[in-house]
Amino acid sequence: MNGYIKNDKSALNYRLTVMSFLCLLLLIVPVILIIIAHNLSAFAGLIYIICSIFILVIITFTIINAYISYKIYCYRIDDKGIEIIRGFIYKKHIYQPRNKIKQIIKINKKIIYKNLCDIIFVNDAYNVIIRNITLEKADEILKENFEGVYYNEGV
Amino acid sequence: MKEFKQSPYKYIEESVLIFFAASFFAFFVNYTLVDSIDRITLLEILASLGIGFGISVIFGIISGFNKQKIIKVTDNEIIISAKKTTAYKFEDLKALDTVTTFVLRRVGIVKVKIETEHRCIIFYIQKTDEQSFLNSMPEKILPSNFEKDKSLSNLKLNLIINLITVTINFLIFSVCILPAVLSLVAKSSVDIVWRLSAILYFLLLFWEIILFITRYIKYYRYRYNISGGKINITCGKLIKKSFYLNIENITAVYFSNNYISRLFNLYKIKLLTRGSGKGLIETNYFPFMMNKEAAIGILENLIPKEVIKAPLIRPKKATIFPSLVIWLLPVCFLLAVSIIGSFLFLLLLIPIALFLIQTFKNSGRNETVDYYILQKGFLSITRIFIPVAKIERVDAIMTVTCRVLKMTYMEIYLSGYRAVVFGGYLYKCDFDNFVKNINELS
Repeated sequence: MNGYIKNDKSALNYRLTVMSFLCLLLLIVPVILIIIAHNLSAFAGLIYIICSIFILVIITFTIINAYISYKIYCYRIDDKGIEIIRGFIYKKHIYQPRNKIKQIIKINKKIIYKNLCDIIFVNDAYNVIIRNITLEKADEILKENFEGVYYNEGV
Repeated sequence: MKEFKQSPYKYIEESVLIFFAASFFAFFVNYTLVDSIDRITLLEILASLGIGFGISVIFGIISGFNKQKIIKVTDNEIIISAKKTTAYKFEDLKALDTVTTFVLRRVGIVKVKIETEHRCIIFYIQKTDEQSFLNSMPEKILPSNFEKDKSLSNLKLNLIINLITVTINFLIFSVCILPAVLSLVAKSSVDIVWRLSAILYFLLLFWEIILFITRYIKYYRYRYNISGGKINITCGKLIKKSFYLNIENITAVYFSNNYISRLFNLYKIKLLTRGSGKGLIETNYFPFMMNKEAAIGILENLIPKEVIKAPLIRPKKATIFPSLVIWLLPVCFLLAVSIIGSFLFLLLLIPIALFLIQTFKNSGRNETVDYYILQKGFLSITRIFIPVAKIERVDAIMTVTCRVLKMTYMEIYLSGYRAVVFGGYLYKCDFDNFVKNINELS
């Protein structure tokens, strides 16, 4: 796609890390089921099989979802506005006219991936967020497109 | 500078509501605990009311101890002092509503809602101060003299249509619910199913009757005035509301009719404003259906004549095939899974197909210089007029089926919280053109 910018590899790693934590939280359910099944000799085998399939599906989906979402995610900023394409099964093309932007917020990640940040474009309705871009890229985007309007270098 | 103190009786209304809610809850708990309603004694009912009264008194005392608000109105701003002091400039004020309920009127209080750029402020002032407060408000939302418009006087027709709609809705609901209730009763002989269904029917019937009566009362108290770029409306008897709105702050205008009102050539208008997404500001400024001339007369005050008369266009290559595929594929999949031994379920596809064909016939769109016009609906057809200047963000959603058919589902975000218009399915190339036009216009 012409003019669209892809995220850095570290964005994929960040997404995988976050999804892994969520995955661990979800795995609590099958673990509890396995512990309960240990005391039920009649259905133990069946519950073991179901839990194994559940765990396998969760892990596979986490990895595939993170990878494909990363592959699809791209954005473009020009004189007219901001465009973001994101999503895997439920793909979304977001268009934000430039003159409707009221404020820009940059939020740095402070845990593990310190070189990543989110840029939030505040408007009168729902905010538009460019996620997981590197600090250098964020500064470059802000300098190129919004210097003197919302952004002053060296702040 | 004028100064108004928030009335100390502001908590009375909440206390009354809490009294009823707590009493009902206490009675409900009591009712579910005993086996038969015959065993509930008067003492238990009194105990429920006592619990409700106790809770409401405690709430009232706690609420009454809240620090009092002081509202100061200067020449160009309104200052509200409570635990912290905030000033709102007149130029940021978007709309103003005043509400008095049956309870508030007894203690002489008016509830005032002010919609600003970012939030809605609510405070209570004395009834005697109301006129003085309204006079100190800026001219752009200042109330006018209300006159009853004769074009809205088709009361009998309105009531007949309301009654027909309410009855049909009730019948549809009954037909949908009755088989489920009967099947549950057939499977289990538990008495609770009958009890619950009886309560459900009673509540529904009660709700429909209340709706009907409130519409009837509302009509007699309804006054509106559209002039000088502002809309002023007052309505209601038990709960009296007054709306003061500047036309500039309207983000979308809905012009609709349903399957019954279409027979009588009656229409309804709904306005979307910046704060309406929060549910604090009313959208139903015109609660009655009106004849076409009256409706067009109101619309002409809100949007340009060319926009109202603009014909709807359907893209040349638009066919019903994509929408059939989009809707029928998942339905077919579900049916294929659920059909075990009977093909009668396939008959269900006929009404779905009819729905799609009719929806396709009703749909249309057009883009004028300042407005985007959209029409959609099946039984109730709605035409939406959106000022292009109010469009904040546009989203195109593409599911897997949509991607195969090169189509998108469009969502238009307007200025204001949760102000979203669902634009329906359209070709990706049409969506791109729409985005391009927004760019050129903005």
